[in-house]
Amino acid sequence: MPSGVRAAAAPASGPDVQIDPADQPHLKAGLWQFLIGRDGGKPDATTLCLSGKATAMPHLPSCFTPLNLKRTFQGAYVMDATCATPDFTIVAHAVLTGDAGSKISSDEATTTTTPTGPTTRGTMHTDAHYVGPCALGQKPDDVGGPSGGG
Amino acid sequence: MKPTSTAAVALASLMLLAACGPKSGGNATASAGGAPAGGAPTSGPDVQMNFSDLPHPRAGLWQNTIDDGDGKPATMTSCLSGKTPTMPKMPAGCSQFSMKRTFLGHIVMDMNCTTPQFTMVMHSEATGDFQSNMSSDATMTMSGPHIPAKTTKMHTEAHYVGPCAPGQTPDDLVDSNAAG
Repeated sequence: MPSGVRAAAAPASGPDVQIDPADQPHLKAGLWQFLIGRDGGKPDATTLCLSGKATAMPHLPSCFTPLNLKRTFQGAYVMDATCATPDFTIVAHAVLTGDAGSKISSDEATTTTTPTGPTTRGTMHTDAHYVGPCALGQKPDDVGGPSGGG
Repeated sequence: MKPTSTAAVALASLMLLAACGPKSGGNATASAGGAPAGGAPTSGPDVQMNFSDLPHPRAGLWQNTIDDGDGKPATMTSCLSGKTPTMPKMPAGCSQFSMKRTFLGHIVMDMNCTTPQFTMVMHSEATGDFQSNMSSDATMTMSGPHIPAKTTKMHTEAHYVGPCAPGQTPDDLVDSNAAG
């Protein structure tokens, strides 16, 4: 069977594509409700008023740079990162799927090792969906500033 | 974007949900005493209370700003149901908890936590009208056999910004720690 794209059908798979952090999807401006469950526990809910500038991928402390970001053939975003210090090393892996205009889900897993202690693992599952525009005149939560809007 | 630390938010929410009464610049540590003749009393005893005694924050969107002194205040919005706040889960070892309302309407909470690894003492004072604003100041001191004593101060302010989105389930009806 010849290789290459099959006639009259879309390819069933393809390579992952390395992307720049600037190419991450941005969540639609407005209110997003997040349900965050850790280590299989019941989720906590929180709402954010976003500006439209926030990236959908999780933000990590600076020690994790550089991030390895890629987009899979089916549109998922995958992030791998390591934070190594003399006291501990954290390896993080996250996969995000969905539509940054309406609904996303992500799964994160971290493994922490120390020179002396046992290895610990943690997971976090997040579902987020757009619920509507921010309140009239509300300053988005992700634009910074000391006042918080109002 | 990942929301800010849940632990910090939970603690801030605990303090904010306890806020009530008119804001006052007076001394919140009221002591027992009688009313002066010909005028309103200027002080009185603190009153022990529990979570069911707390006023309900107005239903809708509240924008919270949490400042722990690092120069980067975190801001987040909550969609509240307007129902009675319930007691969040207390961390292990936190058996001593008290809440009282001062004569001036401030809510004062104290909590002591003791485990073999550490001791934590928390004191907070909250105020606001629950309809448009609430604020709190908290001080937490943590120490232990292998932990040098460290004191953290946190100031939290929240203001009502409007109704929740149509059809939105309030965060406090989804949140497993504060459903109700």
